Parts: sequence; C-alpha cells; structure tokens
Amino acid sequence: MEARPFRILGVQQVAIGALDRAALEHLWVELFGVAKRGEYTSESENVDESILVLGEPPFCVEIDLMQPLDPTKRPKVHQPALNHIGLWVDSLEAAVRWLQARQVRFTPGGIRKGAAGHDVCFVHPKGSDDAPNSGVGVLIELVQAPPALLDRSPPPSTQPPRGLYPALEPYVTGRLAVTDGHDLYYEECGDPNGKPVVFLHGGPGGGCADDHRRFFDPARYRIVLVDQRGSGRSTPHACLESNTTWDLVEDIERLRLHLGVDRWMVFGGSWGSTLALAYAQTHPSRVTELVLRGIFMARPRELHWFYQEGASQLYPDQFAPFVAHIPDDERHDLLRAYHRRLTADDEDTQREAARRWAGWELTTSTLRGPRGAPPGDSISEDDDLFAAALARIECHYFMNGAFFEPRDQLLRNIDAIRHIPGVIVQGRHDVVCPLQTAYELSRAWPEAEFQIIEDAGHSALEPGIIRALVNATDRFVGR
Amino acid sequence: MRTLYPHVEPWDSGMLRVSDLHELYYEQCGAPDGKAAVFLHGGPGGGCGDKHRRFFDPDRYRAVLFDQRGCGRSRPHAELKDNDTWALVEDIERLREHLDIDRWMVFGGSWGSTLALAYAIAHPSRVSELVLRGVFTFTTPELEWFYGGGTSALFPDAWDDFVGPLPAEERDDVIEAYHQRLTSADPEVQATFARSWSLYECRVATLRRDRSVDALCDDLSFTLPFARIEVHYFVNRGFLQDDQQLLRGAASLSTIPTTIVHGRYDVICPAKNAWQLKQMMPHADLQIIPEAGHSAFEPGIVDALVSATDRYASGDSAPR
Repeated sequence: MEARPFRILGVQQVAIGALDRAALEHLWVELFGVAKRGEYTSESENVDESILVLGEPPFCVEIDLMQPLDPTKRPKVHQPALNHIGLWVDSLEAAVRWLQARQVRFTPGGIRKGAAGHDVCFVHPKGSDDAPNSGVGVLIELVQAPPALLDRSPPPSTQPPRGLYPALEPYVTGRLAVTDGHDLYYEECGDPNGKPVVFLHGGPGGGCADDHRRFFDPARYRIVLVDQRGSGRSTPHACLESNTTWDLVEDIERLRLHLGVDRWMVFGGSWGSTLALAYAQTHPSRVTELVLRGIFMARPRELHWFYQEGASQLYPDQFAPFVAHIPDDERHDLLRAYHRRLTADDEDTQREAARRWAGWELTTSTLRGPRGAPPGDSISEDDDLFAAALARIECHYFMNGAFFEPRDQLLRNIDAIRHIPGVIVQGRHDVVCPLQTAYELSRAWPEAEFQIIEDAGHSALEPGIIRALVNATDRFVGR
Repeated sequence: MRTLYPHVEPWDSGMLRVSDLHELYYEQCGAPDGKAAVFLHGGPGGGCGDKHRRFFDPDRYRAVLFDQRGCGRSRPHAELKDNDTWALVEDIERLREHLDIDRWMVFGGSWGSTLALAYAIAHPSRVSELVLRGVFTFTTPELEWFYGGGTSALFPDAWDDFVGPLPAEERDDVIEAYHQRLTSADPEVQATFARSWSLYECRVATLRRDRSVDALCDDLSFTLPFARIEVHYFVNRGFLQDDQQLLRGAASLSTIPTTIVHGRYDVICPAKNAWQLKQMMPHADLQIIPEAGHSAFEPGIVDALVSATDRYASGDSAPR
C-alpha cells in the first residue's frame, strides 16, 4: 500500500462494560488503584460510566467502566464485556477517507463529537459486502488527537518510507579517472568491512541519490555507489562521447579493482538492471548476487512501448506535451525526433527537449501518479542539469539499442549468470518498464526469485518495492 | 468519498418482447416519479446485477435497468441471432416508450458507454445527460490493445493463460480463434473457452486483484452469454460503418451534459479512449481516477459516478 496520510498515535481508551458498574470499580479503582477522573451519563448512549485514567499525559489512556442504563435497550454497552478500544489518530478525517477507500466499514453516523469533545468515528466490528474490512470482532473508536498530543509526535512527512534504513552519510567519497577523459564520482557507506555491494543507478544518466544508500543494512554492508559516465557528479556532465554500455561495464571493474573488492553483490533498477545484467554476463565470477528492480532490457518493443505507443495509452494527458513538442511529420519516430533536439548545437533547443523528455518519465513512474507542480513550472537550474544528463544520455543509448548486439543479447546470454543467486522485483503497474520484460527474464531465468509487487509502479521508492528490495538485501546477509 | 446507495429492490419488473425472437428483462427502482435514468450494462452480454441499481439516489431517481439481448434474464439465453448494436439501440427506445418516459439520463460503462454513445447519436432528443465510465468506442486500436499486445504488457501472466489453450498459429487473431470455439457445436468446447475468455477480462478489471471473480468465472450462466456475445460483437466490429463512427458522432452531442469517468490503470479500455472522446466532446467533464482500474466498483470510480448522478439529480448540469 502506498503511504497513508495519517498515523495512529497511541491507545486512547479501553471501554469495559458490565451489568453492574460497582463490580468494575471495585477491581479497577479499589484493587488496581487506577485513578478515577469522573463520571458520565447519557440516555441516548444508554450508558452510565466511570472514567478512569492510566499513564502520563499527554498519552494517558482512559479506562471507561460502563453500565447500561437499561440492559434491554440498545446499545448494549455490556456486550461484549471488553466493549471497544479507542485509538488516537493525528488526522481523523484523512484516516476515515483513506480507510473507506480501502473498504473499511464504519458504523453509521460518520465523524461526530465524542464524550470528551474530540471528533470520533467507529470502525465496525463486522464487515459488509461493500466494505469487507472491519474490526474483526472488535469495535474500534478512532479519536482525533488534540494539539497537545500532535506537538509531541513527529509529523508524518518526515517519516521515511517504510523499510528503508535510516539516512546516512558516506564514510568516504572519491573520484576515479577512467578512460577518455571521464571522471567518476563514487562514495562508500555502511561498514568498511561489510559485505560489498555496488548500486547501479537508472537512466542511464540518472545519477545516484541519497536514498539509494538506504536499501542496505549499514551495519552489515559495504555500500558502494557510483555515478556512471556523464551522470550526477561525474564529469564531463552529460557527455556522450565514449559513453556506451561496455564502457560502463569496464568502469565497474575499474572501480572494483580500485577499491580492492574481490566480488560484490550487484543491485540495480530500471537501466541499473540492464547494466547489472550486462556486467554480470561479462564478469560473472565477480558477482555474488543480483538484486534487480523494474526490469529493462532495451529491446525495440520496450523502447516503442515507452517512447512511441504503450504507456501513452494509460497516460494520454501526460504524453500530450511530449508529442506536442514535435512537429507532425516527425511524430512517427519520437525517439529520433528527440535525439535530433537533444544533440542540437542550440542550448535552448536542448533544454526544452530535455525538460519534455524527463517530464514524461517522472510523471509516469509511480502508481499514484504525478504529484506537485508539473514539469515546466518553475524549473530550477538543478532540475535542468538533471534533465539534461538524463535525457541526452538516455536518448543516446536508446538510439544505439543500448549497444547490444543482437538486440536481445541479455536474454540470449542468460546461461552465463543462471547460477548467480538472483531476485527480480517488479511493480505490476510499472508503465515505464512494463512487467512483460521481467516476466520474459524470469521465464528465461527460472532460478531467480521473481516477485510481482501488485501495488506498485516503476519507482524504487514505491512502498511495496522498498519492502521487497530491503527484504532481499537483508536475506543475503542472513538477517 | 461517495459510496454506493444502499441495496434496493425494484418496485416494478417485467419482460418486454422486442422482436419475434427476443424478450428483455427490465426493472425499475427508486422513486416512481423521480428523474428517469437508464442503466446500460457492459460486455456486451454482461447482464445487470443488484449493485448496478445503487449508483442512483433512490429518493430522486426512477432508475431503469434491463438485460440486453441474450444475457442475464433476457431470452433466449446467449442468442446471437438478431443481436447487434442497432437492434439494442432500438430496444432502448422500445423500453422508453413502453415505460412512458419522455427523456432520460443514460448511464453506461465499458460496452455500456459504447451503447450509450450509439443511442445518444441516434436519438439525441431523448437523452438528458450522459454518464460514461471506462470508455470504449470500438476503434481497431482499442481491440488490438486488449486482444493483441497492450494489456499483455502489464499482465503477461493473464495473457498467457488466455492464449495458452490456442495453438500457436492461431494466436495472431485471438478474437477469430475464440469466435470459432465459442460457436462450436460442442458445448464442452464452448464452456471451456467461455471460462478462459471471461477469466482474462475479470482478472485485469481491478487495480488490486479481486479473487472473488474466480468463482464468477466458474458460473456458466454468466460466462457463456458474456463470452459468446462479446466475441460476436467484436468479430463484427460492433456493427459500425467504420471504426471512427462513434467518435465522429460524439461531436454532435455538445448540448448533452456529459460526465466521463475513467480509471488511470484501466487496462481493458485504456484512458486514451476517454481522452480521445473528450477531444470530440470538449464540453464533457473528464475525470481520470488515479489508483483505479476498469471496474465500476473501484472506490474512486464509485465516488465519481455517484457524485455525477447526484449532481445531475440536483439539476446541476454545468461542467465542473
């Protein structure tokens, strides 16, 4: 499931019913010594209750000891005896909306004021046809937390997506001069004596981001990240000369030797999966495991799907600006049309083409779809630098079939890596690199573990995808 | 978020003879003097279910539902003779006259949206509003998408199960291959292929896999008419003059308030269909629902559809 727009902060109350409130008080107040704060009576709720309080403010828990005013009338607050539990929620309205969308059944009445003046809403103990999700036998009261509680809890937006290890800094960063004037930025994080893993970013041309460090337990892994030729902090920026798949494969070997690593796990998504397969097929003895996401093998039908027709069927609105930029007579081959513009002498031509190219990819990468301002609105210089590398290098590689010969080279040479432990993680609703490619890879390589994440699009940061990837890297260090 | 109105029982139901061969089941729900609306089910051949009644406020709508020729409770069951788009369009008129309704809102999803467009183009003065979901306009690219390599990009597993029973040389034209088997003299063959045809569609109809459809696809009374009638219409390209006919005709519907609701991850009828229709109907309110597939019962789609019928019941037909 994707990130929820609310958090359950704690237990707000436990409500217990009995025909005789005195018996409950005898146990809780006299024998347990729990403090009694007050009493409450309501005809409409058919209840006469004692309100006790446990724990320290602001997270104290209320214990309601309830007796029905009329045991023959509804609601029968003494049945069941453990009547309901209440939970503090930071954002009740968002929670109810989100849960209802996921077919959680609520009792009639919706959100209303509860006894203590907080807004409340009840999850029904039993499901229905339309809303099969329920309290599974338990009536659950969701209670809007007051400001005092909210101040004490970190806001949801700073919470990391579930499953990633915490943010960390590299213990070393460096530059490695490779061939043809290319100079690569790399960094190492985690445990210098840990199990080595190399992270291969996507694009090509995408560069590494801080979050990429976090798929690996930093206490167990020696995590190496490198910006491929022309990407990220490597120089010359967005340079297409001497920039091919096989240069990148040899760069990985140069880096491995430079770092004194004998063999390593290779982790890559999207173009990173392509490069990982190419590297492993060329240097199989250097690869301990392969963890791959959002599989791409750069074959003609895959490029046609994303850049000509395919993803455009599901995202016609986002595809429109991508096509609109190209005159009618060039639209039969959008890849070529963009290549012409991304390699033009004129900087303005390059910049606008790069924005459109990158925008198309960024708005189709997650299940939930584009968030925030569409590309083209207040683009920063950083955004343009990123788009330039991504667009130019991607287009260059794709115009050249990713330098594979034959085009399905990675499938044909699968025997070279069959013996390497492998995990393939693929989003069902990935429209950038559709499942078909991963499916074909898995059929050719049945020894690899193949996981289809039903609730996910292309991005590595889709919650279900993070979970599966971190699970894989954890397993490979025996967690 | 809006949800379906509660379950209702019809206050009227009956059979209407529409030709020498065909008799249609129909029912009326809600308020007898309410705003008239007709529900056009999908497939074709899908038939109506109880849940379809619930898109309409029972206090404000006189909702008419009927099973199109050959499916549901209509008779003869799974009959392909005299079963085509234009016969169905005239059936809607026969029903309207039979019920003494002057004009009505037309609500349809998937094939129901196709039929709604065909009906509105043929009888525009009888349509007060259009509510369309999971748009399908019967163009060749749309058929190729679902039956030849679009959907399969995201659901290669469901596709493999769909074409698996066919010999390799027949997989280039699965509609024709299935047509032959669904009109076979052998009822076992019909049953087997009706099941695999229906499973393919039902498995990919929702964003999150809904396992309850597996039982539905074991029910021959659903799958046989559904598969046979669908393939009959597809082989005949919807009985249209040419594959742009409905899109062209839609341009003439600019005075009919229209809401188009389409799931972003509808892989049966992709969002592009809705987009193209909107280009022909600029006045229409197009809503692409994120995190929703094809089914009318995806929560986001229910929300948009019920909001639309509520709005039109309030007399608010201005585009949002």
